[in-house]
Amino acid sequence: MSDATEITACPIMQQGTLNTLKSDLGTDTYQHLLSLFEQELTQLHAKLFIAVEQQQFQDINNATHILKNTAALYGAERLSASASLVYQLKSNQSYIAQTQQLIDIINDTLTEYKAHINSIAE
Amino acid sequence: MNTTQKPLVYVVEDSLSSGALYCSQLKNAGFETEHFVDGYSALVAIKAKMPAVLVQDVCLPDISGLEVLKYVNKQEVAAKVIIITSNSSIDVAVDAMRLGGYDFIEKPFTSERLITSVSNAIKQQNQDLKTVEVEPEATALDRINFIGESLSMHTVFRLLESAARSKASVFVTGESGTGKEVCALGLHQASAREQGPFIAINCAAIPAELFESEFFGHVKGAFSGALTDRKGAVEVANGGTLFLDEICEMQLNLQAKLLRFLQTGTFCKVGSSEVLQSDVRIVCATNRNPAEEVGEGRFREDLYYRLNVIPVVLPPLRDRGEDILLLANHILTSKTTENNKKFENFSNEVKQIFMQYDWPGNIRELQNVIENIVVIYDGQSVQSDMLPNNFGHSVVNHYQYSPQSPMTQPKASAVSNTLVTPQGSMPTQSTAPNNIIQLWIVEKNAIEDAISQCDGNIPLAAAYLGISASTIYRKMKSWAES
Repeated sequence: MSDATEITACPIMQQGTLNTLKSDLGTDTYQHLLSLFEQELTQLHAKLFIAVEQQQFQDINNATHILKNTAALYGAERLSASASLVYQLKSNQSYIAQTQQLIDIINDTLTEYKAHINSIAE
Repeated sequence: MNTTQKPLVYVVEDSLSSGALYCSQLKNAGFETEHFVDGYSALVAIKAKMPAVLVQDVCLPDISGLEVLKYVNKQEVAAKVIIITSNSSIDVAVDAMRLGGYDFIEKPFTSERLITSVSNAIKQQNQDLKTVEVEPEATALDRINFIGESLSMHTVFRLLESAARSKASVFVTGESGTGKEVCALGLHQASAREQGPFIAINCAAIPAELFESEFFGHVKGAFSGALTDRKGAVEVANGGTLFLDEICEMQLNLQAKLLRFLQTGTFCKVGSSEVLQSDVRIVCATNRNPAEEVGEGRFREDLYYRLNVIPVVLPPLRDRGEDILLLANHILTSKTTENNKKFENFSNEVKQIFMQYDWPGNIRELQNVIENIVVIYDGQSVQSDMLPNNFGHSVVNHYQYSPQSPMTQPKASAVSNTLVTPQGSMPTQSTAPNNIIQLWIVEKNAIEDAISQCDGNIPLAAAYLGISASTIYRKMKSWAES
């Protein structure tokens, strides 16, 4: 993924991936896994927020390393693409601005996934 | 070691939700799992109970996954370790395979890819345990039918021993005729994939426009002449080993497609968008210097690192000292039996000539020389006057020009056609009875018939004929040339 336009072209939640998870693993496991994903996203969001404030490149790198793969597994394609982009940046590049955009995408992703989790529970 | 019906798999992954997902997928496939988010917790658990398989992330918050791998491999009965890694840590993953990792999978991966890899690791683990129980002295190496006692071959044997126990890609290099395909077949037979197919492809012998179809297959109507759906080598080799001979001859655009397949384990047939999956172990070979090919831009660097996990360099025959006579005796026995003759040994003069000759065609040349003698002559001992007329000329030339350096590379002119028989020693075509068909024509007809019965699928035809596909390609090339 090379630029912001391509990233926004990716869906926040790839329904196909989630459908496969659900049919492969069953509704209960699926719901449990999504809750774990939401929990992890919330933790990483907090870590990134602090890392941006303190301009801690290594912390951002560690968080995006986890995010890019985990998000892809759970169909959070836009988040995965954005995390991959930030992960590839060097410390002398404008990583703070890109990470702020990533944090915004985490917020959007969390909103959409929470709604999805609630809809399963209902 | 876990010996219950559900094999135990430890997943070491620092992402909570990714690790939980892998565990769920593995549980669903019938494995018992435990998830650890850091290396030290995993080490403690391994010490308490060794799993059958360890799915190990490399980048962990406390210690490197490679440290966990090293620890596991120091144990008496070690788990099979599958390294999971992202693009950025591919070099680390290659190192991990050299440290004895069983397989590596690039993130993100599909559940099928994970389950296939774990299942294969379990199969290999069971085979290893069975081997230990039944034949305490036997090693994977014993099952690789290689002859040699030279120091250079001992290094090769050690590498093959490790390679046979893993799924890692193996890159075999060596001059033409050094036994690269035999090495690949030996690895296949010594691995847990022994029951699966062994498919060999000669990348140099397939026309560029047909390569993708040969490799990945095609669907009906994909191009003019594609009258039916056809499986490619990748699909036919599912569960087995795919041997890619002369890999450096592969075109760059196809290298990209091969790389994609290696990364994902998925492919599409020509003319189809359906994504198919195939689990193959890749062994490739070349007689070129692959690193030099990368430097010249003719071979993709990323593909090179992906394939060159376990590099095996087969030494030329001239560098193998007494192995020349060991191999010669072995070949003589085998050809004598095949041809119902009575040869038992070589005269001292022949032995001396063999030891001095530089063998530019390596083992293949040695085999041809001996077969030529056994077919044409009778007797108990192979004498020097039985050697083909042109054999030995290059010995004279070689030693005339470089008497102090018998190990130097042979000159191109030294490659003798050892199949040419001495004048007058065979019946000429004009004296042959009419009902005898030349053997090469019989062979050509049999091969063409098999290919036709397999709808043009050469790898499949080769499998039925009990030969490698590269042999067919080589023969087709020689028919075309003649």
